[in-house]
Amino acid sequence: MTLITDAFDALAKSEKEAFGAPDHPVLVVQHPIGTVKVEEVNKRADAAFDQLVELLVKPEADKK
Amino acid sequence: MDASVLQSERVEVADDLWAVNAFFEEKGWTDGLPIIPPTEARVGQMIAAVKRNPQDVIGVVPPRWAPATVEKIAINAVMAGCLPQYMPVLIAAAEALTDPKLNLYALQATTGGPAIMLIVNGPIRKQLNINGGSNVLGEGWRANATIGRCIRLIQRNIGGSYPGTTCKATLGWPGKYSLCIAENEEASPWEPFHVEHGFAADTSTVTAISADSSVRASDLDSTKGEGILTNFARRMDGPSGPEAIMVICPEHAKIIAGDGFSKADVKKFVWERAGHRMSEVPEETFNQRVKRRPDLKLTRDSVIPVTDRPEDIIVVVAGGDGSQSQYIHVWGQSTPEGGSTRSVTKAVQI
Repeated sequence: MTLITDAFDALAKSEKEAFGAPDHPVLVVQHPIGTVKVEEVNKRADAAFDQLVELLVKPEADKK
Repeated sequence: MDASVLQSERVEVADDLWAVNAFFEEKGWTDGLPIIPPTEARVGQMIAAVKRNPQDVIGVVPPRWAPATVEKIAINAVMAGCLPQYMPVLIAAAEALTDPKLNLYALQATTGGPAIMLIVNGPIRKQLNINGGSNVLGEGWRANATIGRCIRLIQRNIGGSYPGTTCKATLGWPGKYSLCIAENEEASPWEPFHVEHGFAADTSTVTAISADSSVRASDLDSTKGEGILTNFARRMDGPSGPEAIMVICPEHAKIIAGDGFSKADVKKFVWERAGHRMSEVPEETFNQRVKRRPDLKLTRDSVIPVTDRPEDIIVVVAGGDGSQSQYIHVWGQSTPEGGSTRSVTKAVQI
């Protein structure tokens, strides 16, 4: 799977298309993460955690 | 050349230059400047100049990972305003552009917004009138302007790099339109760049490298090489890159070499003086640098060198009269593994 910030959403879509992998799982978190305080990064990580687990453990066919 | 062998989609547009440009602009196929319409006849003339099969694949261009065939390169060459005789340089440039060492995917996607800088060496410079003299980084020469522009159009039209979506450049910089220079080999006291890298002097080469900004290294006062290089090194302070480009003007080069500096000496001298002084950065920046480069075991007294090794500094002699050199920053991080991008040099096949 791939983890990106939402600023790179269009690029990720383009890559999935280019590689013929429309179902490749991508976890999107809010941009930016490089210039926000570590507490905020932790909050975003916590918020994304359930979806991360879902993307990692679900069979490929069920992933969106 | 028989145009029927061309495989690209044909479009019909009113026979009017403004209408054609409006159509191309609407399709997103331009860099914002008007283009020359890539008619079958013009594309055919481009391909004929290299005697290659139009469907030969020179490389694949990210982020679309689409094949840069001779035909597709020729189309973009016409659009950019190139002459057919530029095609061998464009083919070599496309080979360099798509070499995995350059890591074009990262260069296309990053917020850093680098240009692809081309450095041309060897006899082809004179044959095509590629400028390496006065105003070398500026306007005025068709070969420089259109060869560099063609590479940008290849990145866009073949690679699918569109600002704001697949190209995430925060600011970009004007070099992204076109950045192609020749080395001023005749005015250089040192061996040319391509000879330094193992090519014969009579071989022509194209080097591609990521370049994300330029800083003037003007020095009208120094009469000694040490002074020029010390002042130049001060312009190179700041975060390091995988490589760094010194465009040294002939007047500076003559003084530096006259004081006994070889090219390797120049690199070593500057490398020892240029860098990112950890004593001068805020606490947060220092902590981040420590995390990113644990291999350097940084302290507040450390200086992160401008590149990991002196030999990673690229020295090119270019420009006309005057005491004005420039430092061109190479995008990316130097890393324990060798850096996020590396320059690539390819021979031009005539």
